[in-house]
Amino acid sequence: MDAVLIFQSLISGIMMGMVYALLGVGFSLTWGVMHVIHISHGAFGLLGAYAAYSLLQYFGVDPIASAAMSVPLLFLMACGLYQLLIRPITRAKNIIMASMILTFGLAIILENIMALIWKADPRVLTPAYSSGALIVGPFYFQYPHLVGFGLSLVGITALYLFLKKTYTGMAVRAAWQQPEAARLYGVNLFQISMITFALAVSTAGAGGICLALLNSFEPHSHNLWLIYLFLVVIVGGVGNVIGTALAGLIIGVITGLSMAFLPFQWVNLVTFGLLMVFLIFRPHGIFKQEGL
Amino acid sequence: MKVKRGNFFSLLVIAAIICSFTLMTPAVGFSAGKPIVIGGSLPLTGAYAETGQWIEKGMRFWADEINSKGGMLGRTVEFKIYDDQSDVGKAVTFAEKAITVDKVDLLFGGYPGTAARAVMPVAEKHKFVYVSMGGHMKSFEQGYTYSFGAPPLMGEWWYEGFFHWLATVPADKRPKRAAVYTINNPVGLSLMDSINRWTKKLNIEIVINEKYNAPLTDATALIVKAKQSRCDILFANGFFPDGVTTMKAAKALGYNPKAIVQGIGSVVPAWVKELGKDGDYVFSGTCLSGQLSYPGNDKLNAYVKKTYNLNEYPLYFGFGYSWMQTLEQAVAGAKVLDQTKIRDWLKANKVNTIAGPMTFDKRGLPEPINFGTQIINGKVELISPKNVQTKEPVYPKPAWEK
Amino acid sequence: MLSVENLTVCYGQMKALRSVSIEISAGQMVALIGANGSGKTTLLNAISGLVPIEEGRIIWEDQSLNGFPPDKLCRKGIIQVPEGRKLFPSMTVEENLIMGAYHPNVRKKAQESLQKVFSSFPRLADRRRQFAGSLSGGEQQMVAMGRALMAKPRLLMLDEPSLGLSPKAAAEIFEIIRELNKEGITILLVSQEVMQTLAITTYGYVLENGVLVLQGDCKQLQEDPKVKTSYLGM
Repeated sequence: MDAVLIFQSLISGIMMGMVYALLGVGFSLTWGVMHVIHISHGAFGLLGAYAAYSLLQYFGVDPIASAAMSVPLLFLMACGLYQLLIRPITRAKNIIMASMILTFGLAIILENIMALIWKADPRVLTPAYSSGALIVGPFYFQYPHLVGFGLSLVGITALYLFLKKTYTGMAVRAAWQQPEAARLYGVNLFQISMITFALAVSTAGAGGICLALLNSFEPHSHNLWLIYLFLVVIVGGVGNVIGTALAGLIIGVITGLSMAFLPFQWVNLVTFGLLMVFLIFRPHGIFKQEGL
Repeated sequence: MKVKRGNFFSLLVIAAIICSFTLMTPAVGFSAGKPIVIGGSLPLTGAYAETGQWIEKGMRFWADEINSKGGMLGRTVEFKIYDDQSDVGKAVTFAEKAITVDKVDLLFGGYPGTAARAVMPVAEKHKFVYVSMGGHMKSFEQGYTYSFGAPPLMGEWWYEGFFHWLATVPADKRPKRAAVYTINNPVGLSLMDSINRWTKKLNIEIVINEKYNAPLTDATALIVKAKQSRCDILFANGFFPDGVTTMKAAKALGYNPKAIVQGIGSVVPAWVKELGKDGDYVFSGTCLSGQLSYPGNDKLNAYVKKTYNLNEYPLYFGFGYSWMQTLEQAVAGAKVLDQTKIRDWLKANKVNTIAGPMTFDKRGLPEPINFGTQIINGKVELISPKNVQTKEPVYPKPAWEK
Repeated sequence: MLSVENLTVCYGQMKALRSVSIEISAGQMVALIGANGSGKTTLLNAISGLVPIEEGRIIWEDQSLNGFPPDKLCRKGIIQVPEGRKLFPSMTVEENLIMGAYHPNVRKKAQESLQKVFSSFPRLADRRRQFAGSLSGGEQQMVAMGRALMAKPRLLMLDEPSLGLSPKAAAEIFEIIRELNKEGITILLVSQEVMQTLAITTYGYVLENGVLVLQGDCKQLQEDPKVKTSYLGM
């Protein structure tokens, strides 16, 4: 087996896996903290991708800048959405089920809005560096992969530090692990849920932009992205930020290796086979211990 | 929190339930009366919405044109178009419904190939003439007598035009080693037909021949393999998303074969629009083009220029128009709305379409129709056969611009 | 300091508390005893604002607390150490303690409070980086009490602090509670360890099936024949 092929394949696999991780980390958080399975998470990612597309097209804004801008904008939008839609269903007996149905509908609405604004034909996010590469010896580091990888690292690290080091972030974790005690010590659960939801949606926007640097997208692409979301969350463990990042890494390594060693038509089978293996044997993800 | 295993599966169940509850509403509802009603379904929403909507526009352009000339057999024509939501099963149901419930006078062709193939037996059962694009050879090898392709979109013929041109290139300048990557579905695999025949004839060795399943999220390994095997021609037999991923990887990894041949993806207008320069020099084929000189093409081009500000009508606009042209001439020839008489007329006579004149064989197919294309400076140019050539092909492909 | 007047709390159709009245004055150490399911925890949760009040009033320094959400209530210095400790298991000991100082009135002094807690519970300082879920029962109870102290309680309500602990650890916890009271924190102690509880408290209430059946000086209660038979097994 050829070393260049293996290395090259691993590199792009890992970098892509990290993009899935950024897209998925918020999905994991809303599921873990709020017990909300946010089916429209990918659709918000797609909204970020379309916004970045238009910003690049009409104003020449670089997708990296768009990713940075999309975070506060989506945060505010998601706060409103939480008050309007999510908060009312937190009283439901089966929040998981209620949230899935509600956000499934939301995903369809978002898809239709995007199809209205941006039309049904596929789009490609093409900044100047979209098909360039950094060449180191015999190895090529493709710029879109590097940017996606970099933004994902920054995004996930920032989220990790927020949850680990700030009072609000700690309250998010506390509310998830022991909501009653958290309330007794001053945590407003609704406020924390809103922040969690909004943070999750804003990381989705950044993740969607990164993914759009790698693949073309259409209004219904979020259905496909949803599969990646489940993949990283199931492998990484629900609510686990570090687990999600590691899941991205693992998925990347496995995809990269199977790309290098197996016939290409097996690759998707291996990747999604991984999902089934985890669902059956390790439904709590890679870590035994719950945590970040 | 413990992850409940049921969650994932319940999600799938809900998705399935909601999908099946989605209303089946006709896109346009006309009442059947004096006019001739032409019915059927198109994918106006869902995965093939983009193409389905262009087909509808082409059909409506034809209807406006014929109605302004007094209609068919002295009656105006109307459409009853259902939205099959890109679902093959729904396309079959709507075809059945159009014939038995709405009692339409004529059936129009559908898209995509999978749907067209599935509707053919319905048309045959009710003895309705069905002019569609077929999609690949198997559609026309089911022994049906009422189905016609005018012109058909045949994967098996897709690279004929390209190879005809390649055969004119001196043998020592032709590529020697081919990398072939094919999307694993009937349309993708049908492209192998002409590749297998012609590479043998032109002495091109197929060094890599691999299939992949959609979605193709990363093409790095595909390109590295082709590069390392020193393949000097790349066949990327795929659709738009995988096609884009492959092209971006080829550029990023500095892979410069003499020619890149791309299957279906590069036919979509978005290819040129979205990829810009990076989409240039890609070879492909077509069976319709606004640059052809057959009567009608200028008129269609003028219309889309005025209405949609496009320089050339999109492929699927042409398909919609061409099917209707064929049906129109057959009805005029048969002089009655009798499906069997219409069919018999089509089997015995020549029709003139925007894709050229054609006669149909037992299967309902014309002679292979294919024009080789290459994207040059963001425009789809015809390169083969010589008599329709709009530009000299650029070969070998220039190295990627950095 | 705190008075509960004719409090009634319902869980659906079931009345968990029926017209209960208690009075706690500043600096006091009050015991609340009763069998399992007699309504002790419900009373604490009603004071903390975790369960809605059907009838009656809760008054804290001349202000009604009815309808106050728990996250606002803790700012007043009414702090509960819940039954079963309810630590944040996947957070470290230090993080659990810091969470005690979450509400804005005490957040600024969090580091100072943390040092104080560590000096009172040196064992927690050694385990500060460990997950709370991995500690022994006694240590977990210390974390729970440390977390409560971080919130600068004026009234500290402890629900079964010795449950599941070894006798030695339980004695240690009771000793700490007495110390805290000496430092000026008013204590409401709920426990099934009736003997030990009455030994350190000054005044006691006895709940039975949601109804207050007895109250009085702890010395008096210890002598009461009913208490003796029901709770002291004599």
